[in-house]
Amino acid sequence: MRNKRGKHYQPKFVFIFLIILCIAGIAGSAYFGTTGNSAAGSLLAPMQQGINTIGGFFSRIGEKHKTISELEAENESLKAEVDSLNAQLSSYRENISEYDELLKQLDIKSKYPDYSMTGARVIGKEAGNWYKMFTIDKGTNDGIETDMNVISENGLVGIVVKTGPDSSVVRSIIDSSSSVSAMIGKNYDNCIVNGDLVLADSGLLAVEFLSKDSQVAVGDEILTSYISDKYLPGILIGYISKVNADENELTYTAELTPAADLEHLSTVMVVLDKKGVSK
Amino acid sequence: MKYKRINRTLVKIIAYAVMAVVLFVMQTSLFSHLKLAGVVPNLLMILTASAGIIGGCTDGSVTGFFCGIMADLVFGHYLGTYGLIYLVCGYAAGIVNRIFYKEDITFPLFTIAILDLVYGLYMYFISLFTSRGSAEIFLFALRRIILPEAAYTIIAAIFLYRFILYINGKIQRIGGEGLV
Repeated sequence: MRNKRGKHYQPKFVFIFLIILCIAGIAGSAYFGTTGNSAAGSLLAPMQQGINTIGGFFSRIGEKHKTISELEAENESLKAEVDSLNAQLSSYRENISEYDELLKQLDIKSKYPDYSMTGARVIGKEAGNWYKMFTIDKGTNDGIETDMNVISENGLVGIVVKTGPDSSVVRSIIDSSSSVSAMIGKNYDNCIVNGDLVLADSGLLAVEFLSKDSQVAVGDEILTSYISDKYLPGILIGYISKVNADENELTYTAELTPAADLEHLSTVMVVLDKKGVSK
Repeated sequence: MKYKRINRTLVKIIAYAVMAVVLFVMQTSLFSHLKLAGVVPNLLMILTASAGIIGGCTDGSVTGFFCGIMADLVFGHYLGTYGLIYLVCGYAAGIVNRIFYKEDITFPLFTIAILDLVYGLYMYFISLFTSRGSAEIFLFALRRIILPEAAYTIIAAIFLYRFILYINGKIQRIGGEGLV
């Protein structure tokens, strides 16, 4: 960093100039809001894709090093599990036929109406350890916009927060700045599902504002609610794993196990229909 | 001689830019498969601190600014939050450059560890604004994120610092040939 006469630029001034730039950037984006455009992300996307493949290769090598005895023990336990699951399956089959009839009677629309979706691959994770965001390999060229819901085959994963031409950034529901308006599956009582830095460590989410009358119990399914302004209604988020009474004795909080495996995502589906936008 | 010097600066800028992009891509994709204790090492901080330790305040702050803004553009909540902390850390590492020999690996590692802890505390401070309920969990964040990240970063720095020092030595030699 020298000018043409060979003089040094004073490091102090470079430093102060860059600090002012940063503060201006922070103030600007706080004032105007972030644009939701990730052009830089799209430049890096192809490289991330390539290196991600190498990373997957390394983690597969790690998996191969499981010892044979471990595999044998796993085989035994899996066989036992298959038996018990088979038994469960046959009882479920009966339940399903009953359920179908009940559905017809109640005239409830199917839980997942025919949203148009597109599959995408996860190509990068957030740069630090504080937030749970990730990049996917589809962008505006594939019709993706901000605020589109992202799901996996099991349940809700997150929401698109930034888009670029060929990549997008998705904020996972487990991120501590994420908040989803939800409802209990059995009685449609509303609650809020929040990401939580402590619970995220064990892969769980926090559920707040459950009313005392909601009779929430461990194992209840939690779906996205009809009153949410960004999330489409009726998408499975997860199951209640623990219920605590609040100090005020009026509301309950709970812990929720997400239905989607948020820790090991490799492919996701982006729902191309947005809430509040008619087709 | 004048042209040699400009040439050397240009090569240095290109080398740091390439390293920053490669390390950022590695940190976001490769190392998410190589997590230890649930954290990824902060490779960008190693680059920023190394640039400061080896090249001084200007090198440190410019490298830090570039690394931070790149992270901001891709993942940031506000443009400039990462930029600010990497910039400050790069400048602080530059001050260390005046005090210690850069060839000795102990002090650079120590500096990188301290700077990564500062980065952790700063990120905790920022999370008070971006996330709910962060105020009560300082000890959790320290135990679960800040300290493991610093430890993993030191391990990565043992290899990466030598590499960056080697690259720097190569760049210094570009100008040196003209004098000989």
